Amino acid sequence: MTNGEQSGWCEALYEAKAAELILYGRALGLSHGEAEDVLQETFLALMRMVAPPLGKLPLEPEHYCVRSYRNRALNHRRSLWRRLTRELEAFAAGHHWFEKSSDETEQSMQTAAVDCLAALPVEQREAIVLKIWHRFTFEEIGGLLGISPNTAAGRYRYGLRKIKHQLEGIVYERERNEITGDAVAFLASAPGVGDA
Amino acid sequence: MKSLETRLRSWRPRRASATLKWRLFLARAANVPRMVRFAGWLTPATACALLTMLILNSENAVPASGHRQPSIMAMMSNQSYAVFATSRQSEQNNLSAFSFDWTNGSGSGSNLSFTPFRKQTD
Repeated sequence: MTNGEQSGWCEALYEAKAAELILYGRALGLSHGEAEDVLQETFLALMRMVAPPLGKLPLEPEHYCVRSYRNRALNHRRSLWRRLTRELEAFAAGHHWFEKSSDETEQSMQTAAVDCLAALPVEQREAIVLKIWHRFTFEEIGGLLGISPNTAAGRYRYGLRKIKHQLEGIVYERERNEITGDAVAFLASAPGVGDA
Repeated sequence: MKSLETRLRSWRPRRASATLKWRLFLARAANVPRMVRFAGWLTPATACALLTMLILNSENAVPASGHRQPSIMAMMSNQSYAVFATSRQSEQNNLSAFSFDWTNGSGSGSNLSFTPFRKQTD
């Protein structure tokens, strides 16, 4: 593979996977900046591997990227200093994991879901992100994490159930507020008893 | 559960910053990292060299060259000289002690007298 082909191939892979890998980094507990740093490391290593002296092309580039990214992210997460800066960044920036939605209702649901996702244990979060946004099967998740497909499925379902409960609570609260609001508006618009 | 999965899948993960792509692909293609790396050490090195030259060329930096030593430094290093300098110069520096006698004398055609540094009292 020549330099031009290699660069084009890597760029296409980057376009396809960058956002999902950053989300995976967030699920593994990194800040957005750290997730980007790890993404850069991953792609630099991939480009070195594919470049002429070695010239090795991974069999499943997307899966290779996810595996390589995961290993680097776990190494990156260990540093105490990085952990402190991550905490500070999370405190300052909050959980902004997805592109913002123009729909206000959808945006509030998204915020609530991300808060709930961030509160889940890393194992469940990881399984959810891999299954939903990376479209991995449970066999593939099990192979990546070194667990059985059943365990992966269990983590996924348990985590998703928690998110569902959380979101149902929010929807219920909102509907109740809307009904109360409508009732108050109706009563306010009604004529007084003395006027009737 | 299915609808929740579909809903979650519809949310697009936050994109990587544009500079990351630039660093990875465009800057490599243009061979910019070498220049950036070069500038990375050249800039602080130049700043250090300039600072060193400034310090070495400063008058305060060479205490051995006696003729270039400023009087302030000499006064601070020698307290008795400082006292001398203060007492010797105080008379000349006290402007209020001066009065221009010739302006008050008969030699002047002016009928205005000169009174230096008198504060106005209302």
